[in-house]
This record gives sequence, C-alpha cells and structure tokens, in this order.
Amino acid sequence: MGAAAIVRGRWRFRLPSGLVLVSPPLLYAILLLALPIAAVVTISFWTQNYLDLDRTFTLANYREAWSQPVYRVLMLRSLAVSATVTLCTVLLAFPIAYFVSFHVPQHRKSLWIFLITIPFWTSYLMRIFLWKVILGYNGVINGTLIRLGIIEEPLSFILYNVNAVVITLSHAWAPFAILPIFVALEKIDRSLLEAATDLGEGTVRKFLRITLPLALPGVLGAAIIVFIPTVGDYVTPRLVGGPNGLLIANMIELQFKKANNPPLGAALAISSMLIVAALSLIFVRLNRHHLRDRS
Amino acid sequence: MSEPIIELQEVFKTFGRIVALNGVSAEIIQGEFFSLLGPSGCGKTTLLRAIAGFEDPDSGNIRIDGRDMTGVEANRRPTNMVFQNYAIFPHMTVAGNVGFGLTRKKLGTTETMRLIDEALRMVSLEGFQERDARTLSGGQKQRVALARALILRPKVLLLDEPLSALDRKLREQMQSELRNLQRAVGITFVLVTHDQEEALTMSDRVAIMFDGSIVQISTPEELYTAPANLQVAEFIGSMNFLRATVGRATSQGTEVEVEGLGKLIMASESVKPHSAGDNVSAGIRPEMLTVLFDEEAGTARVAEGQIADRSYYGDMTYYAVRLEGTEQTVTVSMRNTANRPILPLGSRVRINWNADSIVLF
Ligand SMILES: Nc1ncnc2c1ncn2[C@@H]1O[C@H](COP(=O)(O)OP(=O)(O)OP(=O)(O)O)[C@@H](O)[C@H]1O
Ligand SMILES: [Mg+2]
Repeated sequence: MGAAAIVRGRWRFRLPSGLVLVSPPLLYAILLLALPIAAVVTISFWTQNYLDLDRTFTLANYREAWSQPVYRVLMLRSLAVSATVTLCTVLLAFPIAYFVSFHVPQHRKSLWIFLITIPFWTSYLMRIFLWKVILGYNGVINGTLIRLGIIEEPLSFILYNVNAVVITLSHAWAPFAILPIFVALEKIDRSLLEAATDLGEGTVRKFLRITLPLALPGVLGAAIIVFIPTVGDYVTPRLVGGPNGLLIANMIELQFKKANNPPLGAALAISSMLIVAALSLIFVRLNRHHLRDRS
Repeated sequence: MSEPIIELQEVFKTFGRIVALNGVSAEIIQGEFFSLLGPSGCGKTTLLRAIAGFEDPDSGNIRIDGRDMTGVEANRRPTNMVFQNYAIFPHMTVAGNVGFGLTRKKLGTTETMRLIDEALRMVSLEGFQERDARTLSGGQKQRVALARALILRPKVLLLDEPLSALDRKLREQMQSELRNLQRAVGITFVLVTHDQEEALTMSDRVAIMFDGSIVQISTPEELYTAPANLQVAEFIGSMNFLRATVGRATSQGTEVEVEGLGKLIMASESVKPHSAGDNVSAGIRPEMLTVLFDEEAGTARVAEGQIADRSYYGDMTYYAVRLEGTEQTVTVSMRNTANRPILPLGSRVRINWNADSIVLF
C-alpha cells in the first residue's frame, strides 16, 4: 500500500493536468491555423456566382489555376524570387553568424545577437519605405553615385522591379537566417577544428571539411525559414516591385478582393502552398541524402 | 639513440595574470614514452598545446627534431595529438576519421584504404571502417583518435589525458595496449596525466610539474625512491615524514637522530645537502617499514609502538602505528601472507626499517 498508492495517486492527478496545461495553446493553434486552412480548402472547391457562393463541389478553380499562363508565370516568378532571396539571405547571413560565433568574445555574443534583431523594432512597412528612399530615382544610392561622378543618369533597375523586391526581402529576413546558422555554428565543438588543424589542414580546407558540413543543418533551416514565407509575401512586391515585380500572392489578394473570386484565390493559395511544401521537402531530402553520402 | 626529439628552453606562457608555464626547460628523447604528471591546473595541457602549436609561448624556445618551432603553424608541425575528448568528427565514418589527414597527401584510393586498414588493425578495430563515428563507445573513440594520429607517422605523438574518460577496467587495459603500441611503432609519446599510477607504470621517464614549472624529470623508480623535494615526495605515493636532526659524520656514515626511531647511521651521500645540526624531515615509505612478528624478532633495530588504526585492502593491510614515547604516528603497510595474522587495534608491535630507504628533506 503506502508509497505505491501515493505514487499512483500522483500519476492520476498529473495526467489530466498535463492536458489542461497544453490545451490553451492547442486551442489557439486549432483556431488560428487549422480552421482557416480548412476554410480556404473548402472554398477552393466552390464557385462564385456574382454575389453568392455556389456550394456544389467542383475542380474548376484548380483547372483554371493550373492551366492559365498568367498564373503559371506569376507562380514561377514567385518561386524564382524566393529562391534568389533565400540564396542572397543565406549567403549574407552566414558570414555574419560565423563572425559572431567565432570572432566575438563569449561574453559579447548575446549583445551582438540582440543588436542583429534591432531592425525588428521598427515596423516592416517603415523598413520598406526606407528602402524606397535608398533605392529610389532620387534616392541615396543614385544621389551618391551621381555626385561621385560614377554615373550620369540615375539607375532605374534598382527600384520598382524584381531586383528591389529581392533586396528588400533579403534584408528583412536576414536575422531569421542568422539565428539558426549561429546556433549551428555555436554547437560545433572547437576541439574538432583543432583536431583538423593538428591533422594538417589549413584554414580553408578546415572550413570546408568541418565547419561547413557541421553547420549545414542550420543553413538548411535558415533556407527553409526564408523560402516558405517569402513565397507568400505580397506587401513588398506591391510597394517596391512595380508592374513587373508582382508575384503570385498579389494575384491571390486580387482574387479575394477586387476580382471578387475567392474560390479561385483559394485554389491558387492552396496550389502554391502545396508546391512550396513539396519543394521544401525535396530540398530537405536531397540535402539529407547528400549529407549521409559524404560521411 | 639518446638524441633529443623535443627541446624546451625557458618556455613562458601567461594568460592574463595567470602564469601557466613558468620557464619550462626539458629534453624529450627520441623514441621514449614521456609523461607529464602534476596536479590539476599546473600547466600540463598548456605545455602540450605549446608543443603542438596551439599556444604561442610568450618567450622561450621549442625545438622539435632540431628545428625551431617559433612561427611554425600547428598544421605544419611534425606532431599529432590525441585530444582529451578525442575530437572525433561526428559527420564521418571511422574510415573518414582515420584517413582525414591522408587526403592532403594524395595517395590514391587503394593506398589510402590500405593505410586505414593497417591503422585500424594496429588499434584492434578491424572491420570498423564504415561505422558511423557517433555510434562508437568511449574506448572505441579513443582507439580511432589514436589511429587517426598514428597513421600520419608523426615524430611525436601528444596525448592529453587520453584515458581519464574510461572506466577503470578499460583504462588498465588501454594502459598496457598504449605502452605496447608505443614500443611497436617506436614513435615518441608525450602523455599528460594527473594519475601517478598511470605515469609510473607506462613511462620511460616522468616529468613532475607544479605551478607551471617542472621540478623533477627521472625514471619512475628514481621518482619514487629519490624524490627531488618534499613536494614531489608528498605527491607521489604516500610517505611518512618524521622530524629529524642531522648529527656528526663518522667513518661509517652520518648520524641522524629521527624522532621515534632513534639514532640512525645514514650514508653520507644521502645526507649531503644538509650539515650537522640541521633540522630536517625524514621521509620513509610505508612499505619500507615492517611490523616484526615474533619469529622474525632478533637482531634488527626496532621501535616500539601501538596500533592506532587499521585499513584492510585484501592483499595488503595498512597500520597506523603510534610510536612509543612520541606523538608521532607512522603508516606501515604489510602484505598479507598465510603466517601473518591481521593485528587487532591496540596491539603492541615492534617495527623495523631499512635505513637506506630513508630520504631527508
Ligand atoms: N585559454 C586560457 N585562458 C585563460 N587561462 C587559461 C587558459 N588555458 C589555461 N589557463 C590557465 O592556465 C593554468 C594551467 O592550465 P592547464 O590547462 O595547462 O592545466 P592542467 O595542468 O592541464 O590541468 P588539468 O589537469 O586540470 O587539465 C590554469 O590556471 C588555467 O586556468
Ligand atoms: Mg589539462
């Protein structure tokens, strides 16, 4: 009796209390994530009849989404922009993360990481407008270059096109890429690098054979974190992208609002979600495979 | 044969206000098993890392194989190291780890494979080539670290407490394997350890370090029987210290009055740095004192005492004996044999000693 009963009593008391503890976030997640997705999926199988919705099941929206060239062009452009942004962001983030992890003294590291997140204290819109000021026809870059005599006419390829979208997004997402890479670099046992040196390798080959492969999970994480949400971004292309810088998310927005065709918008949204999910999975798989082969 | 492979001259190294190496000078001989022994924080790792090239000495000189190592990067030195935590590359197989340093030599696949097989055989890990390095046990990791370093045929192999993470059984086994391996390959081993038993059983010569300085370099026997000073004597094994006064020199030797043991004649040689009238400490190891059992009684000089405490170790018994007429207690160790009973506390005993094994400090 005695102790066993007490232990069993404790267990009986603990199990429900665990469920009770997780239930608020669980409810929250269901309400804010699962329900909206379910709603969008449902709508994508309906039809808009001017003011009311025809609720008979149809695949017509998907047929249109996958057959009309305009959607394909926008989807491909979105993927290309996101891929470029991901590449730029990771290439930009890696040296910063490397510097903080390997060259900043231990007691300063948290300060550095804190400083890197400072841009997040200002609203994203504000940061986009700042980029407009920097990249604009009469902006900081053009003004400086003209005053230095390097160019005579303001450069026009840096604002209101895809380049501006890439620049703005790469800057905005840099901290999200820096953090996972930094964490991966921090986890590398420094004695492994000394061992590589001891076995005769110089700085570059040590980096390629030890640091980079061991940081790869962080780099992959960073890539996924940047790639997935940038495909869905519609604020940046709207504000700095110009007419040719519009992306699939802008089209989805258009369908839900001005075009008054939420079912088509939903079908486009679900389609792009599936494409991104599939691409991300393939990306992760390939890299896992590659990692295992190398070892 | 007795060419020095490593020459250390007045090597200093400080970290801020901490003096890690305080003018270390030593010569390590080609082909020997050399140990650095000392308490925690005395600078052993720092010295090893300075030899490997991971720490730059503030001043002083390190020569390896006759070449000055100042300014020579760690990856260009003819040394290899076995790290304390083994530093096995987790993203590689055993073969990838062992062959890591070979890639630079561009030997071709067949030759590389052959060398890896050979190195693994040397550390008894045949057939482990394709094993994921993360799945190895501590002992196996240690062998991989050894193979990885030895495959490059370094002039010197540096080992930083390579056995301290292993359990006792495995440690003892690895001690003799390491010793045999060193004899087989003929490479100079420099081993850092804070385990004196390890240093004594494995090494050709041992350097004792305290506070950033080497205080004695000698063979294990010499270290044990003739410690250079009180500090070394206290550090190595256990020793009884008795107050003593040096007396006059006679034709047979020098008289020394030792508290509890009485007046002894010691070889003048071993009294040397002290002169008549000096108050000194007489050190004697527990196994050099003997409890006399009745049948052994006779001619020898004896001291009377009473057993104050006793520790039984199976093969040995340690008695704390309070010497007659003094406050002095000495530890006497006795091997347990068939005709020696374990004496009860409070027994009156007579003990005898070997004057040659007394060391004065
Ligand atoms: N990188 C460093 N920065 C500051 N102080 C250091 C550094 N490395 C060593 N020290 C200091 O130098 C002294 C010697 O250290 P070392 O690691 O050589 O000791 P050790 O003999 O190897 O000790 P242990 O047996 O505990 O490993 C210690 O006081 C240590 O705190
Ligand atoms: Mg150490």
